[in-house]
Amino acid sequence: MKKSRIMLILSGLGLVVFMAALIWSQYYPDIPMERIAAALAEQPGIAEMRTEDASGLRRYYSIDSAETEGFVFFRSNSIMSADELLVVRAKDHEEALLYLESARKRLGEVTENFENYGAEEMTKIESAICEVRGKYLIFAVSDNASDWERDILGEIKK
Amino acid sequence: MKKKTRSQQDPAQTEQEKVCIFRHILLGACVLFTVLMLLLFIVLPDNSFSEMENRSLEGIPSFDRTDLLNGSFMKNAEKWAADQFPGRTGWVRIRTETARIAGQNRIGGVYICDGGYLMEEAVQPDEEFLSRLVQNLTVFRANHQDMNFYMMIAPTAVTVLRDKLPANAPAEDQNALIRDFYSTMQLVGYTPIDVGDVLAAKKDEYIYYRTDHHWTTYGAYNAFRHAAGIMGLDPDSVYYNALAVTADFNGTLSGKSCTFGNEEDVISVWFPQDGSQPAANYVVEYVDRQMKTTTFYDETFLTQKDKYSVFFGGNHALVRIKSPTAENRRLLVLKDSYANCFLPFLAQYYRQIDIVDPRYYTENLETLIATDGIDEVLLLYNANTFFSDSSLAGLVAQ
Amino acid sequence: MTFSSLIFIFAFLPAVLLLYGLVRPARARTVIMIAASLIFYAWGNPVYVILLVLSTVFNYYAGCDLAETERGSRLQQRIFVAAVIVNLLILGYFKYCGFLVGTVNALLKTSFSAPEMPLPLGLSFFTFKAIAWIADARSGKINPRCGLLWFAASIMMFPTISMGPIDRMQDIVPQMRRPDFSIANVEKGLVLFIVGLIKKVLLADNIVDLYNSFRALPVGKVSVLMAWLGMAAFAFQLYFDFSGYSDMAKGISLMFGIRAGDNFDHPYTAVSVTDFWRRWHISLSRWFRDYIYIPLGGNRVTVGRHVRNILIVWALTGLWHGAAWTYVAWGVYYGLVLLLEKYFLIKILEKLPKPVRILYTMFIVMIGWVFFSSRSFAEAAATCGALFGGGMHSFADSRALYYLRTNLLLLVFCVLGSTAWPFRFYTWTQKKYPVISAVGTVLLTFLAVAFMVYSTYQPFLYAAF
Repeated sequence: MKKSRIMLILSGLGLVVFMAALIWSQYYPDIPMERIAAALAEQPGIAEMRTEDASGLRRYYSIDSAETEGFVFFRSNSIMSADELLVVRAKDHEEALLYLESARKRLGEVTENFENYGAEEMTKIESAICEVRGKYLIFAVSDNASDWERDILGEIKK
Repeated sequence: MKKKTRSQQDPAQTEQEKVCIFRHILLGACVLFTVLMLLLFIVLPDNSFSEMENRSLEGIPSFDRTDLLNGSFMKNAEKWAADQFPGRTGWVRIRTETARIAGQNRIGGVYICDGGYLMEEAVQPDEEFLSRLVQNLTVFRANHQDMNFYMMIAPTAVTVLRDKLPANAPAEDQNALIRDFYSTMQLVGYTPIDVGDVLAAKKDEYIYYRTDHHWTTYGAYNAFRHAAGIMGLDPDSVYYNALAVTADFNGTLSGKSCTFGNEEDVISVWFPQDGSQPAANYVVEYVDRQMKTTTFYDETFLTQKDKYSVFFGGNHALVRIKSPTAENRRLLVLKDSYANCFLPFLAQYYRQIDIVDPRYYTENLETLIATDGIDEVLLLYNANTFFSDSSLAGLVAQ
Repeated sequence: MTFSSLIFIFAFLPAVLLLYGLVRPARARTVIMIAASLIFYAWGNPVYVILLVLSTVFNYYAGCDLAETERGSRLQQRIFVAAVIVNLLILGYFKYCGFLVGTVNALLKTSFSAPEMPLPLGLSFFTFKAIAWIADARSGKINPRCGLLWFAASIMMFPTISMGPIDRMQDIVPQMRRPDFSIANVEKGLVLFIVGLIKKVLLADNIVDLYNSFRALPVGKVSVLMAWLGMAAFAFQLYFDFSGYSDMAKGISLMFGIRAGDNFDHPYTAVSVTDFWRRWHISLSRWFRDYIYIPLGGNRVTVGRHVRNILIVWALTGLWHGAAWTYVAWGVYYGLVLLLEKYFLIKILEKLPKPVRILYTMFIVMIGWVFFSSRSFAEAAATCGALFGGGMHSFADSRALYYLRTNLLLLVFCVLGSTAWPFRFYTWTQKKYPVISAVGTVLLTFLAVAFMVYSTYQPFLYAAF
């Protein structure tokens, strides 16, 4: 075969592989919340935080826990710290997007509350994670936020 | 063939030469400017905090693999370049002045008004926010039928001092919004305190700060006199002297509007006159800092930018004011920062006042009410915060 | 990175220019261009660089293979179709999946979910450049075997990767082999770049506030005047942003010795809608004409077929601009108007005085922008209602007057900037009063820098999520 033909096929295959990898990375299987909670329990920073229940979910995010298929919500014990982690398993992707709006509002409030408190909290808040993956809403404010996110996603995609 | 004389050749040539001059000057100037900015950027040390924006500025981004792969290194690099750009404040000032020359009089949501006044635009709440707030407040009241519930929502300068707004400025009337809300809440048992008219009567006096979104202590006092009548307090039992504690207060709105050279404000603290009868011996307890003092004022803030925090040192989750010799009434105040200069007027009428800021308070409100034997509740807000901050609805929803 | 970011103007661009100046051979310069373009591309989303590189290699060898295969043969046809489909599938996945899924869901009441990937930078643009290349390779119009290096540099080059113009690669490749890199061109390119920067930063980025204020209002509260002000703001913002960016692209290309094509020619001074589309996004119209319209037969067919061709081309043009039915409707709207002009109106128009023709054209264009800017047909209809009065809309309210007063100077500059006069005046001052002209330009550049710095200022503003 001519060189052009070979290169064409190779690069074509490369594109296929790339697109496939990209699509696969977007796919988030549906797993029960307990597995995520278990994976998080060992994470640094979680043990020191206070676990919130449904009333906390309603108070801070206006999300009704009965509408969800499970959630974990941790907040810092100290009012001087902005650390917070919320993972919500929604009924479907659309619901998760609605929860994303609540999470964004929450981020705005947290930013407003801490903007006078100083630099460290603000750096955490500026690199906060606020996203939807599949049916899951992940909201994390902490120095450990990206580690938490990595573990959550790792657990989901196992 | 007649040769073109030199003068006939010249015009076209000199035009071409002139264009070249133009281009060379332009290129030279741009190169110089770029080199200068780069040198200054490298040589000058990084600033870590911006007073005008009240936020910390980005430093050199850390260079690690994950950051590179997910693009956050690039975002941080852009932020770093922008935050540390030489002469940043100067450039912003140029922009503000240009915008004003071009006719803009609302920058960053702040109107630039007559008399050196800056006014924040009025917040328009959406239906969802309002219905959640009404619902939660109704339930809150219903759980405590035996107590008096007062509600004071103060309009801000944009409504009361609307004469000073630029021509045709589309500023909504907060009084209409407030009164509408009052009529709804009155039906479920809240006693509204309408200070719109009282403030309007004093609009030509110094009742709002020029550079800050708060009302002055004088404005708060006028509101207090009106509220006292409704809450069953005697406003004439104490007379006050106003003492100016600072004359160079540059408030939040200067930064928000990116305007410079504004006439600075005077903050006054009102002390009871000798011979009048306030209750003596207050104890002010800052629960989050586990600290007790005998004064409402924190003078350390007078040397910082946020001078309004001289009142109670800013906002705290929970502050208790105890006056052992006052009448045995216990008040719970759910408030925003407008209350900070208002509360000293209330202090002497109550044995205990619990001051809760819903944005920071994380405990259970019902427990507090029970433990501290609260018998009256006052909601004290300015209209903009009341109609935009969802933490109040969240707090009372328990 | 965008052209109007501080890091691009003060760090990236000077660095690449310096490197270009330091090396001599065209090959070395081309390598620098490719490297710089890859960095520029990776700055937005690092992973997508792989896509850009693979796509470039794929399309280059597709062109070569087509040239080496017998012209007109079945095999060549198949290779061509396969290559085009690969390009369109990639474009379709990133840009149109959501649209497709949404439409299917609406029709069949299903609830599939579409992937939400960020769009790779310039995908629509380089896909079209690539398709043009392989189409021309197949028809024998060009010899595509120019060398991967030159092709890659031409299609990836950072000045034109993000927003075009959609130049023909056969015009760029020879320039890449022998770039006309000189001080004179750097200077000329600089002037063009500054003009584009001013259009974007001083005009587009400021007038957009007026449009946003208009859109933030509940439609019942909008007066007729406010609606016209809002849509005018949109029209100006779109024009100055896009043409500003195209000017910057052309200027930067020239700084590197490459002449890119024109994309805009004062479209808001057009005398008919047909004329408008010869002045707006010129490179795109040309692409659709050469690669869709003419292959379908163009206008050398029956009237019926001609109408069909026009409508197909314009529906696709609309679709290219955005993945929503409002964009398709916008395209078809223009298709119909153009047909109307060609078959009836043009004779009438020719007899009318120029100002009337311009007003007519702008009226049609503004209605078009309503569909272009609306998120749904309902919103478009409501906006049209506001524009033409009717029941609940007052003619002019206090709010509209406020926005008119505070934006008057800016609007005047926008109107003037849409005509050819400012640039003519500017070139005249360069010839007559070079020093003053240069000083004035530098001052305007400073002003642009001030506005760029301000846009990074966040007093009490929260990071937009």
